[in-house]
Amino acid sequence: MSSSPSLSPEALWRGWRRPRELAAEWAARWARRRQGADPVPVRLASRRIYILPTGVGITYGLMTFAMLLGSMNYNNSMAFALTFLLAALGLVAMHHCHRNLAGLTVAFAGAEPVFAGEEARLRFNLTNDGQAPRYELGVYAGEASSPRVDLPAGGHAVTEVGVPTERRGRLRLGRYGVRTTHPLTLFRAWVWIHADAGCLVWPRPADAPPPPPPSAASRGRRRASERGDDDFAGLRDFHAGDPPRHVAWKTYARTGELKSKRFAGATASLAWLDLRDAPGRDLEQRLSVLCRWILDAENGGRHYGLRLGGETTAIEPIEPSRGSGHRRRCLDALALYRADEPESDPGERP
Amino acid sequence: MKADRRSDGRLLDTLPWTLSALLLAVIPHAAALPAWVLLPALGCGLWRWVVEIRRWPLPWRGFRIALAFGGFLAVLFAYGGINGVGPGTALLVLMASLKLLETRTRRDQFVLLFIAFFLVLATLLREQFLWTLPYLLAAVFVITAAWLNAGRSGDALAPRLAIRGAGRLLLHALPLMLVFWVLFPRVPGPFWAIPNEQGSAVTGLSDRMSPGDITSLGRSDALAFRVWFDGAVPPPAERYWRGIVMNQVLNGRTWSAQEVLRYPEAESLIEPAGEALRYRIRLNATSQRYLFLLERPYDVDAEGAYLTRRHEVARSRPINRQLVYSATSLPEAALEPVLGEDYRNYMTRLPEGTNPRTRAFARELRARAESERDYVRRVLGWFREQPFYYTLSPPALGRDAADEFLFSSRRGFCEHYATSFATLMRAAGIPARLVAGYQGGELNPLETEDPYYIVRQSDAHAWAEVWIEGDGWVRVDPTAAVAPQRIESGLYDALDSTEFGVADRFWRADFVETMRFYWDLTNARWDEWVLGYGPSTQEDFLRWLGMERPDWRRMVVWLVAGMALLLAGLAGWLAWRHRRPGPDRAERLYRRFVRATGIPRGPGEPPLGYAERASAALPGLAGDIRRVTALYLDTRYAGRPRTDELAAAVRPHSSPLRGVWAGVRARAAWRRR
Repeated sequence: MSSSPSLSPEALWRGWRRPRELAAEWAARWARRRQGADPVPVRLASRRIYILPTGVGITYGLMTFAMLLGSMNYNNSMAFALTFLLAALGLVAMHHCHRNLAGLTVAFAGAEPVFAGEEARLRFNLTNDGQAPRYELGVYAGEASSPRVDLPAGGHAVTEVGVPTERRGRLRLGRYGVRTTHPLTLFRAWVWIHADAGCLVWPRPADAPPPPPPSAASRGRRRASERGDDDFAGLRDFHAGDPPRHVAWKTYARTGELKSKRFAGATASLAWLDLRDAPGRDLEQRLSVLCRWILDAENGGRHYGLRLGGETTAIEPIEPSRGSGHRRRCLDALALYRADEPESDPGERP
Repeated sequence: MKADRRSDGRLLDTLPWTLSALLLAVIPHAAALPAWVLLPALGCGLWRWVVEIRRWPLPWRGFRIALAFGGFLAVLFAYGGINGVGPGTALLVLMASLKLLETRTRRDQFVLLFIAFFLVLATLLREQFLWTLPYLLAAVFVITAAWLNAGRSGDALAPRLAIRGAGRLLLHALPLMLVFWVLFPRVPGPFWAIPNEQGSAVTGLSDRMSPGDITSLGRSDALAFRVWFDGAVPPPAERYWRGIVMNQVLNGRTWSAQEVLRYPEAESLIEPAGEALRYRIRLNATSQRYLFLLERPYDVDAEGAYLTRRHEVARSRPINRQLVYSATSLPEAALEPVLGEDYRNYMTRLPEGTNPRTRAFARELRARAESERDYVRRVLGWFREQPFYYTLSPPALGRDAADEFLFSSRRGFCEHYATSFATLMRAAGIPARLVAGYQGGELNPLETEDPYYIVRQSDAHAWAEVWIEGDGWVRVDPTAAVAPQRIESGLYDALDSTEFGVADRFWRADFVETMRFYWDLTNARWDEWVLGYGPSTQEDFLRWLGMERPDWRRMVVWLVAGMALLLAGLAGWLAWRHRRPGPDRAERLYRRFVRATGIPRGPGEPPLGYAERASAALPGLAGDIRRVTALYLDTRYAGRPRTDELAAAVRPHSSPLRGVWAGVRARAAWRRR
């Protein structure tokens, strides 16, 4: 996985222990070069479906071979018949397994953001527009996989893959897949799909950080920014999540533009949350603290604004407000703050 | 720890499948398995099912290991080894029972199903009758259905779906299996020693004989062997199928064969003379080492067969499955015209103090006879004159069997006559021995192309051979003196009708007889073409199929080609089955109409908009356009199918040929979408 291979004993040991995974990784990259990036939704063509025997399949093969030796030794016609029937069954199962995937349509169907450390639930849409049912289809991403679903002819299903997250930022899979072992578990057919799928990962909320400094409200540019619910203080652009009762419906009716009303209120329930105030060894820890502050402020019913850019204007501060939409906007800002490098995206590497 | 072992009921819906698959695999072995294997196995199956219902814990690991070890040792001691079908089966059944005790997950069931497959294989190694084919298919079918469910991660498939799924897989596999079976090159001979063991219980002759032994075969209709003659067929009275020769008298009632050793000079025991009879025999398993042949076999073509000192034909290993051999016999040739003094003395030996009355009678009769030949004649005459009675239900005889039979009971079957006759000969100093084999054989009238004779166990017979100076060994059949019909036309005619019950009479009824001949013919074909499909049959069959000079390379090429063809067919069928639905009839009709107007419809253009545009361009057609559009919209979107009216409205505007072409293009366009 690492682009700069180290020859430490642990790395060697890991490499020795998991040759299968390395081979799978190599094959996936090869497939990426072969197939290119995929348009969404993807209809799985036969030529991109890969198939290999499973452990059960290998055992089955060995059993059939042992039976063949026995039949040849005893020169027993009926034993030959059984052996050949089992061999034929294996071959037939291989074709059925392959066909179980071919023609399936797969699309990423979104995911809710999660806090780092939580499991991101990525939804995938599986559509069977063929005239025969498909069975035991599972979506997988890395180590994670969804429960398996059956699709009747013409049916579709949404299935969820729980991908563990570690770092905040944008979770991008770059590669996921669908696999099946139906009908006889002798073979596993799978596809690699090279398309974006992922979600935002918010920072992990810090455990019991110090509360935001009370001076936070008085620092920085003191604009007419201590806003509560009491006095109308002008209009601003509407953001998703603004409470409907704050929407300036009359303005909307007149101009067709959605605006939200701003109110100036009690300063006690207002806070500017500033990255510079958050304690912590590094950026990630400070973002964690900010995250906790946002959650606490939201739960406490206070208005809060978020200032990530300091005095510079490179990053616009988020004006104080509250509500689930506001909370989400703030958390998203935390997730994306200087998170340009993708977390892990092996498929995209040259 | 205890919670770990508790069953969680996840197998509730798949375990019945697995258990029935196992049961089906074990049933054919039930008769051969000892009770200490069978009963625990059934118990384990039942118990495991209750565990799943009640959510009981599974047994402790150490306990299971101890059981496995104990079971292994038990098989080892009971069978004296673990090689071969018998102990192998016992071991597999024990393993399956123990695996049941630790089956927790869906996938654990695969182990059980693997064992089930091996048990089916063991059945086929044991039995090869006609019924094994349907059994094989049924067993694989049930195991496949169970397998399908064991691989499921969610709920088990509905029984209907499991049955259909397994049936479809099997149906697709059958043609491939047939190609494999016909074309996979058969190689002669075993690669490593097949453990010597009895197949299923075999009825037939043994190498020891006491009065009453053959009697028990008299009512058995089981097949002994089938014979195809190449050329002349000897008359029924000359069809003596010689098998086991017994020259050792153990006591007053039992004769026995000695060790069956190869005798290198056996070839020189006869001097070729007279007409040769050529024939081929397919002998059922006897678990003995003897082959059955017409007298004076001269040339026997059988794997590992040799002649013994007594001119028997034997093999070094028991015949545990069907054996085919062709042979030439010279019935008129003299056997061993010169006999050494030692051997001669040996052949006249009788155990001291046995059958005193018979011996005294023999001495007396011999004194009155002029020669050995005359003595034989007198003894046979005596048998004929005295009230001897040929019967299938003779009284049991004691220690001095010949005495009892000859002078008091006088009711007996062929072996009674043969043993007492041979005793009479030896008592008079004439070398004599007992021969066990078959006499007669019935032509199957239904097979006219390649006629064959059926020899059944009820044709089992015993007779004697005496050595006469100048003639060598001569066959003497005392039964023929008492019941000549037995030799001329078979057992049924020779016995008194009171000997048969209703069942026997039923079996002899004409239509039942015909059915039996059909059944035997089916079995003969089965034995010949299925069981006997070895290297030479394969070569014949492939040549008949049109393969020139079949050798293994050619077979492999054909095999690969056949498989590729079938698999391509399968892939095509599967693709067709999973195809996307094409445009329906209303859609096709509407498109045909649009095409006929000559005004192309824009992508995604609504039908009403198109109708307006087309009517403006073609005012003459406006009425038709309105009507077709209305019908189409009704059918498609209003839920009022009026497809037939639509078809009638479109018909005047499309030529049939254009219609077909349009349909094809419409389909293609739909696919591309």
